[in-house]
Amino acid sequence: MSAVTIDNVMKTYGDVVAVDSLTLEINNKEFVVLLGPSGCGKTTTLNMIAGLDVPTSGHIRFDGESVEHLPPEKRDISMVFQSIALYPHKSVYENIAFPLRMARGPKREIDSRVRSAAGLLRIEALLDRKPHQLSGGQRQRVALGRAVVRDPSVFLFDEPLSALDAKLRVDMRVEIKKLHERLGATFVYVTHDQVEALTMADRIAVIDGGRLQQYATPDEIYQRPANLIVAKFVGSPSMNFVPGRLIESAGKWRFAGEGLEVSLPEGLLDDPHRSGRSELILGIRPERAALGGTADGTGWVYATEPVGSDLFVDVTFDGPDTIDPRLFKIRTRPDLRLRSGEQVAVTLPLEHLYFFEPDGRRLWPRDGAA
Amino acid sequence: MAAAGARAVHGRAGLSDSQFALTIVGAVTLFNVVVIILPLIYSAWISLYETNVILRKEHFVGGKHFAKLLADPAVVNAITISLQFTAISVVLSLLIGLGIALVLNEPFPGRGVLRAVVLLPWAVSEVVTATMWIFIVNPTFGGLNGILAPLGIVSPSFDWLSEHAAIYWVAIAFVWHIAPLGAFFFLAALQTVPADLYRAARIDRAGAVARFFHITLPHIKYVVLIVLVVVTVEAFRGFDLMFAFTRGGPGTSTQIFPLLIFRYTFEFSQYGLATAASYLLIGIALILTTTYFIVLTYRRKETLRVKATAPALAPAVAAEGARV
Repeated sequence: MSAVTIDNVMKTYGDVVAVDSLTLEINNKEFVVLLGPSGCGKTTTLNMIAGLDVPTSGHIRFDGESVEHLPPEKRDISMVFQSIALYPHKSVYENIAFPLRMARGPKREIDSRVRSAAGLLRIEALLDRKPHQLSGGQRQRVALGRAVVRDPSVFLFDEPLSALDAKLRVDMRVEIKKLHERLGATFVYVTHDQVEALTMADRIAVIDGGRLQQYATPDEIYQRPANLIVAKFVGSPSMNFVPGRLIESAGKWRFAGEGLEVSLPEGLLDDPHRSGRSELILGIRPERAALGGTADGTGWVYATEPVGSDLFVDVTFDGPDTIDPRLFKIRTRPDLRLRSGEQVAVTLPLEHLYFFEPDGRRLWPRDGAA
Repeated sequence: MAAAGARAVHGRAGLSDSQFALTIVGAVTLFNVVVIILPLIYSAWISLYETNVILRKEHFVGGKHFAKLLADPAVVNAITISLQFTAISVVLSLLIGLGIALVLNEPFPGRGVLRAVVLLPWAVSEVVTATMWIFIVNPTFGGLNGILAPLGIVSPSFDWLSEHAAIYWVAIAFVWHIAPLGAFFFLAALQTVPADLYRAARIDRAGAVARFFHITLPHIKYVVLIVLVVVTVEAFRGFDLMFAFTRGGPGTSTQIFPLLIFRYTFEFSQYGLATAASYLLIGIALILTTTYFIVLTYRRKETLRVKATAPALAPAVAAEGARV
């Protein structure tokens, strides 16, 4: 078991900065997900933890010991790849046994460990098969078996579920989470799928453009995104954003965006003048905005998306007949009947509003405030 | 179906899909019959007859030529030399070809140029190859003596092509010519090995040697078989190089079987004997290539993929055999 520390790590390829001064503390036995869009540097980070890539500068420590110049075989790690990467010429048994054979363990011990790993992943019946005779989900289990059999202190996962179909992905998500509970090892898991991140992680590190955007629990990430990038990336469907400005009249402050106006109680934004700049961006999650009510704005129904349990209504404030509208999504009851072009009132409860600076920093809710 | 058929008829001068296919295959088959099958049958017929070119007479002798060949020590000697030459050539060109391919598969500056240059020896004809190597090993004007004799390493006019050493020198010249072809095949195969397998193997603590034997070699196994077959057949019927290099000498120390057949035909005009010997040559080449095939696909019941590859290779092996 190991704690992993990534200390001010840089990785550049020529002029391209893949990972930019990244610092991350991963506790022993923690399940940490590196989340970000493709090309954000999360896989490079994982490869550096694995030893497949060497940092340009900075340190990677396992339990306080620098390992950044150790090759993968000298680190106590296992890795599951996006391509699954089973050895095609070896049977399932040989695939799982391979890491132990390379470590030259005694034959009997190898056999018992392979069989117990196969039991853990319920693939005992497949041991004599070749990878090409397996389904996608079975292959993924074998790859997990190959990782588990070594009993390493750190498990690394590089988007292991992205090659699977949706149903299987949900099953494997649970499986990997249970595996973490059972093994009690440190898990570092890379994905671009925010649902995977939210469902499995103890903590999520959101990375974009090679930089760490936020590192917090899934709940914190969802409830209090550090900036616009995190707010946009986490949550499905994504948070609604409305650019606008602050207006004062008769000592009262209001936020005025396109088609929307929200009265702000005193103290919501500490210094509304902010040295004369009044532009900011309002954000609200689709499940927090409501149709009807006090009407902070009036829009038109552009389209509706029923998903069974809910109904998502796409509202536009640009007028009833716009060709390329900006859409504002609202989650509502599935039995609501709405026609396209129908005029609707939109209400934004104050307690669920976010405000961001135009440069992306979160302004509200304030840091530290409950 | 009807609509698709009508469209096909429209596009191909009034032929249906299967008519079109038959026409194409038929033309190729006809060509093969004229160029390969008919000469084979004709030579089989010749091999059963005794021919007298001066009297322009021939009479049926049945299997007499075959019996005579098998009893002839010159034939046994030639076959032995051929097998020796083939064995040296196959082992060396396989190892060197694979070595070149492994090096060229690694990224380094100038790799592109080197990849192009490395194939050149194969593009050079065997006769030119032989001539070049003569310029290297000739005792009086050869480059090797030109360098080594002044340094005192060998005596002036040292004879590299002695009765014992000549076979190795022709084999080296042949390997110089054919190994790049193997390298070319191997390089193509190496590039199809998924990079993640190597990464997974490194994580699994496999060193470079283990990675080669557990990942690279199983992956390129069938290309190894193809190269084995091609080089074996090329070496076993390797007439051009030997004829231009040593003409079988000194003595009969490099007189491989095809050279003997050549002498039967053009020096002794024993056409029946020569064609019978040619059949012997085909037979040996087929036995060799089939042996590789059986040995390398021995555990084929294990995987479906082997089953798919094996029949696909069989015609290639047969075709190489027929070229002899």
